[in-house]
Amino acid sequence: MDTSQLLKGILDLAVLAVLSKEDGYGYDVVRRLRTAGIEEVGDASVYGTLRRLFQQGRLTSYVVPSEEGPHRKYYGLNQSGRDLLEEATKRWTSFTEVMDGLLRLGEEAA
Amino acid sequence: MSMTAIEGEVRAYLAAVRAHLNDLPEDERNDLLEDLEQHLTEVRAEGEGSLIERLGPPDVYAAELRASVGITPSKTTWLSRNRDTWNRAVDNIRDFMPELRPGWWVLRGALAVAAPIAITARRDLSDYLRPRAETILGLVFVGVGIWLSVKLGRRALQSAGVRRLAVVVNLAVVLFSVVAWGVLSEVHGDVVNRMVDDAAMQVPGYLAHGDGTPIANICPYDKHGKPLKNVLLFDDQGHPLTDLADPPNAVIDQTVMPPLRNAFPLKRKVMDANTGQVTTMHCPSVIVSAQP
Repeated sequence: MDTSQLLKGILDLAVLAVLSKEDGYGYDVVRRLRTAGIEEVGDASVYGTLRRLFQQGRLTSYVVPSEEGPHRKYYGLNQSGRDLLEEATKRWTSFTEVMDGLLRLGEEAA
Repeated sequence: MSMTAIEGEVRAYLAAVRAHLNDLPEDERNDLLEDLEQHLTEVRAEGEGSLIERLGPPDVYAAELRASVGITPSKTTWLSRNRDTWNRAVDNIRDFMPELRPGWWVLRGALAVAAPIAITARRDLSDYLRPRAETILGLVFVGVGIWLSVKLGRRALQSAGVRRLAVVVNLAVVLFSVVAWGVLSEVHGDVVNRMVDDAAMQVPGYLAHGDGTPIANICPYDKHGKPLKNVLLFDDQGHPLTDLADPPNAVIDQTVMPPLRNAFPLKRKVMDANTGQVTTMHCPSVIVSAQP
């Protein structure tokens, strides 16, 4: 299973996590995800995820004028976004614990 | 790369992505693509290589975008998938309409004359195609109608006031034409009905009593009640009476056939339905006495 398949399920969580550290604009979020090690993330997926989270009311957005190039639209978490991050983190943690257990079991059997 | 070249590349890429999302409602699509131009510009400005090299082809980008916002293409209808094609078709028709204007002017002129004639005289123009004085007159009227209509059309292109007049004229002509259509189809309907009635009158096609009972033979007698033979009967036009009804169970017998099919009583052979025996049709032996 390649990483991009795995990413689909957790991209929301990854984007929320990035934005919880610091507000960011679209391409900035892509870059920070890649720097963090998620290199296979698609540009369109990140952009789409940002738009969807924003439409769902999980993010705030504001425009920052830029001297070179167009104005940048920054996204940041609002309370609803922080709640979602907390909830998703819990689910992720319990899920990875189960998966870790399963995989360790596999190792021991082998 | 210059700023304008980047802008051009971004716009082209954006337009292609937008086209691949043309099944979405306009609002939703605009909302989704709101800051994509800014985003793409950012991407393009930062690294090396074209957008297509770095982001992949626009259709793939659009599909990924679609997946990440959770839009399934299956919800779309044929019309929404082909929204752009449809819009283009509508635009083409709209562009083409002005080309048809002169044609409409001519048609309008002809209808403006033909429709009132049809309504008042209950005749269509084809009636006027027969060579007679009215034909010439009719054609002159139609010609004048067309000339005025074209003149009106050309003026209407330049003046809003005349355009309003033209709209009124258009409505009137269309209204008159619809009424004329109704009148003419009624007239033609009458003709057809009459033909059908005539056809019905001709049935049964053989001699019959007033109540429809078929007459299979005629038995002539003299004034003393004595049966006559070989009496030739004709109508007042001198046509022989030959169109008698076939009796039930008639047997075709060549010997009673021509030359004298109007020599009465006919010697017709009939077959008895029960016994199968063939006999000659008989006239009643008699009856009649001379009227005083």
